[in-house]
Amino acid sequence: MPQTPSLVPQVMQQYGAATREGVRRYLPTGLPHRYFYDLLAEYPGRGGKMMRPSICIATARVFGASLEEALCSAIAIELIHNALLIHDDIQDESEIRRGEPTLHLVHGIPLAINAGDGLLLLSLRPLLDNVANVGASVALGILRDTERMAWETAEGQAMELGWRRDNSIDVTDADYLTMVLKKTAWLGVIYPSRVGALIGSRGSACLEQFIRFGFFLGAAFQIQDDLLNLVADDQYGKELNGDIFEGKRTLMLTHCLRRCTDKERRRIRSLLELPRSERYVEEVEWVRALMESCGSVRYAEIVAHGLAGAALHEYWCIFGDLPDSNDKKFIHGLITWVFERTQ
Amino acid sequence: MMTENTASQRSVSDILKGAVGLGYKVVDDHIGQGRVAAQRVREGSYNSGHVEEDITQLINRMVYLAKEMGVVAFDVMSAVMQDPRSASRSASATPGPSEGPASQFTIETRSTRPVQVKYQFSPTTPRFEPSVPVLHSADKGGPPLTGVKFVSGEDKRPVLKIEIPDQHPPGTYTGPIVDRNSKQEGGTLSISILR
Repeated sequence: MPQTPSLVPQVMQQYGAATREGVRRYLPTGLPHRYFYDLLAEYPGRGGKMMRPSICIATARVFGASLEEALCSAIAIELIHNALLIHDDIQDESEIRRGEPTLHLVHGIPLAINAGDGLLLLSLRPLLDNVANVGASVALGILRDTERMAWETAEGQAMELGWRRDNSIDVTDADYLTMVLKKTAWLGVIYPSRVGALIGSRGSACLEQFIRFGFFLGAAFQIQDDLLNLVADDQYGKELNGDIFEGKRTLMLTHCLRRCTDKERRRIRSLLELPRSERYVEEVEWVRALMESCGSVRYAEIVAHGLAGAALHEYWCIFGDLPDSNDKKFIHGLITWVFERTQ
Repeated sequence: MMTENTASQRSVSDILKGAVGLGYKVVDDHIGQGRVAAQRVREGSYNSGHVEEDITQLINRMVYLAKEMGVVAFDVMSAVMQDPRSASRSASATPGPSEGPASQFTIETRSTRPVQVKYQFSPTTPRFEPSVPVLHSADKGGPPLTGVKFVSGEDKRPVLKIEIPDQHPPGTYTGPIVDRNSKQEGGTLSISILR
């Protein structure tokens, strides 16, 4: 029986539509459209959950701002997210994004990298427009947080890519959580909620508390995302067991590496040493089955629920005293929605 | 069976406790590192007078970084940054006979394209209430720019609001700034839509 209020998808649809329309307005349409501007529009045009911009707008509204005041920031967040997806897909050698071939598979790596750069650059425009929208001081605070988020995300991505390059098999849970904090939680939850709070409070909100809330929610989200990857169906929009194919150090893989026998560990290590194109389905499915028999899938499920519980605690610390509203219920509802979503 | 269940429950409880404890350690270490970094950045005094300067520096740094990334089509942002205050600025430095409130206004721009604003503003009386009747295109036959008006700001000082429709043709649009009551001219305004 689903626990998430239907409000969560409704709010994401509402704020997502406003953001998507805003993104569309910012997307340039001139030349060279075939090699550049058409590519910029591809990932935003494929849809997406719109969780990040919705968190930004909802938090801003909980703290007293209007949707319009938060819209430029929400648009920038979505543009940055899409830019990083393009680069991530190249770095991860991913083949499917939102149910369709990844951008670099369709257009080639050089043009895809350039399109990612273009989207990142485009995100500066709504951030600059924030000066007129929310005032210079708050706009500066948002720019500062954007810079921090960008550094944190790049550091997290470097950690994960480095583990894969060096074929690390001794990644601890603390290493994993630190990587997730930087790579996923900052752009996924921490930054959108901090920006929303900055706008709504006119710069007066204490932002540190959003790091705790965002980390726990973001980490629960990421672990659930990795779990979904193991049981994906066509609707999921990603390839089944894609994370194992890509050699991602997920919580399940690192736990499995700790629990399995030496012989099994050597076999996993040999598999991960191979280029992606030489990792065969049978071997990947063997790793997947081993994760099950080592209790790694169950372990990850328990950890994700524990982190979600901590997110709930942090939620009440931040939002407990604020007036009730649909936006407040939406943020609360996200914590259970993490486990009930199918994509 | 009971023993197995109890052991299993204890195991789940241990995992939960360990994960949450580890989570707090990771995030608190991270916050601690952030505090140290923030302290280092924030050494010395800081006040609102530095805001505009900081925005310029920060944006210039981001522009530089993005250029370093080998991005093409950068001319638009560079054009905007030629006058980083074009998005919103105080006109208090405008030379004029009066230094009273009437000579000061703020500019707020809403445009998806880069816009350059130039003005000459010398109000003839301290009670001058600025208004912009219409801005005509410097190019023959272009439609006038109508989304430009003065409104009263929170501090009662005038705010020049500029809204550029997405489809409005690029070009330069000029017109007088007149007193709302006497219709006496007190300056000129020129807005260029750069592309």
